Amino acid sequence: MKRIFAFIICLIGVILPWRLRIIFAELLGWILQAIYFIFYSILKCIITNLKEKGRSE
Amino acid sequence: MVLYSGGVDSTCAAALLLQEFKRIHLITYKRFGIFCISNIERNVSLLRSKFGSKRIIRGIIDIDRFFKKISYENYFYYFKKYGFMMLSTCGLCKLSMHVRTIKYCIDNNISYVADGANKNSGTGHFPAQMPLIINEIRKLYKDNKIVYLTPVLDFDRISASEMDWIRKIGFENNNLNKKDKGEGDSKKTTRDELLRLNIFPESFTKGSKMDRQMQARCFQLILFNIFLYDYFLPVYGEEKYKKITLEFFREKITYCKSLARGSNSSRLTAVKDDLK
Repeated sequence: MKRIFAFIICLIGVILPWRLRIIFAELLGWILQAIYFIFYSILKCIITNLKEKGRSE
Repeated sequence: MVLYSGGVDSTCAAALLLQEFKRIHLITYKRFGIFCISNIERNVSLLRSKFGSKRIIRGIIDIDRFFKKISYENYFYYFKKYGFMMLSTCGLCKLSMHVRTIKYCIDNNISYVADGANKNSGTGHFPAQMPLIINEIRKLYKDNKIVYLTPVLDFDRISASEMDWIRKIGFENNNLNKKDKGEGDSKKTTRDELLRLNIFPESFTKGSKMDRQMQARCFQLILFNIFLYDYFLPVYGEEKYKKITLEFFREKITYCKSLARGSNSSRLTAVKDDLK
């Protein structure tokens, strides 16, 4: 599934003319930044809670 | 002359060259898709305050048309032959920078060029960091009577546990560092070297706010990463990737040589009028 998804993104990227490809990459970049930020926030929250629990025990 | 991105590796390369040369040209290339170029001035100021303003000649050059020409000329021929390798934007962008650098060196009578290429940085899959491609680039420079130096090529990578975000989530006491340390040949990182030279503050970490604010931003590597890590490597493997990358860039470098006008020399002394 991941490969098919990657293939579709690559296919779109490769057929776009150069400025549109850059804009497409920018769009993907901001989406991934958002995903990274959510992942980072959740991970930070989990680790903080685990540390607090470890201390209280 | 140093191809300068403002990052840790190219700043270290510039600092090392300033210890050997009287004066250096610190050149940054810009094009559509590279944003926040002004961030780079931060480390230029640090270098100037350490080594003196007169020793650093600063320049920003537009490579929009070089990049377009090198990436998109004969597009269907390359696409038919190499497929998604055409998404190797970072490699093609760096190649455009090297070609423009050759022209700059010839115009300014410069014989030595350096950049922050580091084979241990990242995962080592970026064409500009692959020793095989670096050798090809070196030959291109040599054809033009220029010496291409890579002063930080063998430096160690900055370990994962020294990364800012790992510290922020309180996960620095893990085993990531043990795996990373010593993977390079030199057992020291560009960050260590900049701290030793008192150019960067002790508090500097990779991925920190300071790190983000000293470099330009470019998201086109994301398309390349998706192509490479989610498609090409799982399907074809590492060896095939190295082989096709070398073949692709050899052909592109040959094309770059053909940009030179005149049959008596391979020097890029007269790049076609439309690229001037």
